[in-house]
Amino acid sequence: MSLLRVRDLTVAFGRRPPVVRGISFDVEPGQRVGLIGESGCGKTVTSLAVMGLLPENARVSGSIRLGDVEVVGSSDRAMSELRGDELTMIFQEPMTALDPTMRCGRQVAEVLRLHSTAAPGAARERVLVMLGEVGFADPERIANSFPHELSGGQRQRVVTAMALINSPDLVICDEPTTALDVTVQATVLKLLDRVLASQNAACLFISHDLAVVSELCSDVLVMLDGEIVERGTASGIFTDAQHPYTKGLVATSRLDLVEPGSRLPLVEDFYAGAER
Amino acid sequence: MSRLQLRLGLVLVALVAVMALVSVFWTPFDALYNTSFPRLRPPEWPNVLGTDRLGRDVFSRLLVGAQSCLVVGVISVGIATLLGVPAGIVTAQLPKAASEVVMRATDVAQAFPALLLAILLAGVFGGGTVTAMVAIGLAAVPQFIRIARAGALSVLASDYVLAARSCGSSRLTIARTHVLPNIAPLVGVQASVTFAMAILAEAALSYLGLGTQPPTPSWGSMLKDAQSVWYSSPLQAVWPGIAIALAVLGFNLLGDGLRDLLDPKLREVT
Amino acid sequence: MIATVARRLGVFALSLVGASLAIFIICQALPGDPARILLGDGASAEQIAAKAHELGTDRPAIVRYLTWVAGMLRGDFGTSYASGVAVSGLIGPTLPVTGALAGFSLLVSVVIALPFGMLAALRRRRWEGVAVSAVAQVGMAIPAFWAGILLSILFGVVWRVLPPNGYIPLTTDPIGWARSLALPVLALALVQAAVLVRYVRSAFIDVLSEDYYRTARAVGWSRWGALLRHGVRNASLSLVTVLGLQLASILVGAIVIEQVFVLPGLGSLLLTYVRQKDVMVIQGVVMLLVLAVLLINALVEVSYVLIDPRLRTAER
Repeated sequence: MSLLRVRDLTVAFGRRPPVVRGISFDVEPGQRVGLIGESGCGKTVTSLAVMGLLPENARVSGSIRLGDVEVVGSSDRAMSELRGDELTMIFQEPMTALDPTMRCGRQVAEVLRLHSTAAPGAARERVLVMLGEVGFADPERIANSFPHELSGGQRQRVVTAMALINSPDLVICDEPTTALDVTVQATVLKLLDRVLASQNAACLFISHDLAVVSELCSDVLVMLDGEIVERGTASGIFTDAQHPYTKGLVATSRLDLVEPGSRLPLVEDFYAGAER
Repeated sequence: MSRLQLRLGLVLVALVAVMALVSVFWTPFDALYNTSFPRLRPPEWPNVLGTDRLGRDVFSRLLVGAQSCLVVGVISVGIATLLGVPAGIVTAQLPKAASEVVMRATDVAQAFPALLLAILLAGVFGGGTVTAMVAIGLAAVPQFIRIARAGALSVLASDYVLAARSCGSSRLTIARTHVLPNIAPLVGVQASVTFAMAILAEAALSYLGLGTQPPTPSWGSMLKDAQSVWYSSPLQAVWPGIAIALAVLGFNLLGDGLRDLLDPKLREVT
Repeated sequence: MIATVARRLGVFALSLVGASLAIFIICQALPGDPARILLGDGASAEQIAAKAHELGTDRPAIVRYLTWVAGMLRGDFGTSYASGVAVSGLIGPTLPVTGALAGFSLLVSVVIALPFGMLAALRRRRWEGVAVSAVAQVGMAIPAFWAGILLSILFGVVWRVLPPNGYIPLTTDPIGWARSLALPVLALALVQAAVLVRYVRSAFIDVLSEDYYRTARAVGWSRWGALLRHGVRNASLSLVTVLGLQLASILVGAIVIEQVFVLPGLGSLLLTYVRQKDVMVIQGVVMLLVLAVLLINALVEVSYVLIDPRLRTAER
């Protein structure tokens, strides 16, 4: 029984043509699935659909089953109980993701107390433990800090703590390291790997970067223009890419394999372009 | 949505204007002195809105009341524009320190509400329409300085002004040919909003007896009269209030509609 | 932080000086000799000179100005030209009345505007949001004193459940006091709330597009929960500014409402002495009102530092 079952998901906004066009995929408990594609291919919309956080003018059809709950058409109240508890999300912009007027420890504690009946003292303890798990050497100081006193990488780690404190079944990561410095990216990715493994949480990892995805995930879905054009294992995608677009992605992600002196490859070399 | 606002605003403003204009030439009955009707009658023919406590036709008084409403609005907005806009344009060109001082002063001046200034001036110079107009106009000047300065700053920073300056155009010419036309829409929006404020202020002043003096009817003073007869004739308090509300609504909607219309263009100017 | 507060106090002090100068000049220097105005045109030159000496208006303007300011710092607002009574004695009893009226009106207007503004922001594309905005638009156009008149007719004359006018002091009869303030506060608050709703709506629409709102939703807050928990604090920054500005209009509205409901407040005092052209009283009352507005605005700016933690660090 899959943890997440998506069947024929179609999402359109207003009267415009659908952004997500009838996609289907599964995520098993504990499995790490990467969702890769360029901007505008529909990967973020897919993740928001799974969370039930699409804007009001979105028209969703198809099925998204998380465990035995049907997300499509469910009430906001029902989804609010799942969000933060069994289903969490880490967004792309750590600099603005946290409430600037509230101390970080309190924001993490909120997630805990929204979904459990922990008393403030016990909650505080768990917050500090969680902050330690996401790599802070001094959880007390971080908990008492305001977001603007922390760096981007630190804020993303606080957000990660918020996403994992209730031991969710599924964590959706929407390009969590894209907005960070290259050196910090590696740290955060390693951290995600470790914490996800220790909780055995499943992960839907969204990115445009095949290299990042293949490090963290076991399986990969390639999305193009609202459709899934290829699925495979992370290692297999490099060797047996079928779809020309995927081949282009693979080629451009391994620039170290390019012959010195020759032109750098572009995705367009492999795949002429999307039909709109 | 903004089109609807604009249209509704125009309709209401036009209504008030028509009332005022028509009443200059004709009203069903004399609004100031004709006290021949039975007093405090409810709406009935020929007095479509009834009569007041002196036996005058309420509808005619309502029509004439539109005049003071518009006159006060036009003059006070005029004063505020004529004083505020040039001051704002000049301030935009002052060196930083001087500009700061002026802006701080306008901040303080803005805290002085129009009504308070009007009461103050009435206490010193005596009440009346003129005092009211001057007070309201002066109180609105800081807003216009602010708007004109903001608009002027961005126009003066634009390329075509730079080109004009390098051709040797004088500051005055530039102000006249480039700055003014471009900040006109902004000023227009502010004028509409200020007009609404002026109507409210004038009504309050007339209610207090410090605005338009009897026997000239003003919607505000009609409300004062109505209050003295509220036991016998509560309906008297309804008509002038509706008139004020519709007029103010009209100008507010006009201002909002204009602002929304100009919004994409406003972003270029400000 | 100290530097900001000091600077703000400096601006406040300067504004006070500027305002007092403006008020003094308007009241004393422009219209001419108060003694002559008081005695009228029929008085002889000696009578005017005697009166001027008695009132102290034969001293140079700058001396009178400084005396007035120095007096105010001690709580002495001078003496009324017409009645010879100490101005502060006249002002004293009116303060609780106007204070209660303005204070409660501000409070009630916020209590009304906050939920409706949030509703208008959350449901801005549905009929609830549009309806709230439309009602607010109409409410803004209604003169507060007209609302007062209608309310007093409705509740005081037609239904006879509340007094249509009059004031009962708190110390005499608390229930009566509350009942005598109910309608004036309601009239003022409803109109102010209509104005506030637009600002609240705008502030919360901004919140809805912020990332921290999205995060709050993603961790399990409902729409209202996220707005209340995280939106209010962040929106307060801009809303507190608006409240400061609204105070001026509430005070001025109170002046007129006091006439509608015959409340013995600062506004009634002002208007009585305006009719008598007693500039000493007028000066004092207007100065007091301006002081209140400037003080509140200064306090508002200081409060920013309390609300937004980012401003605290910036000062260090």
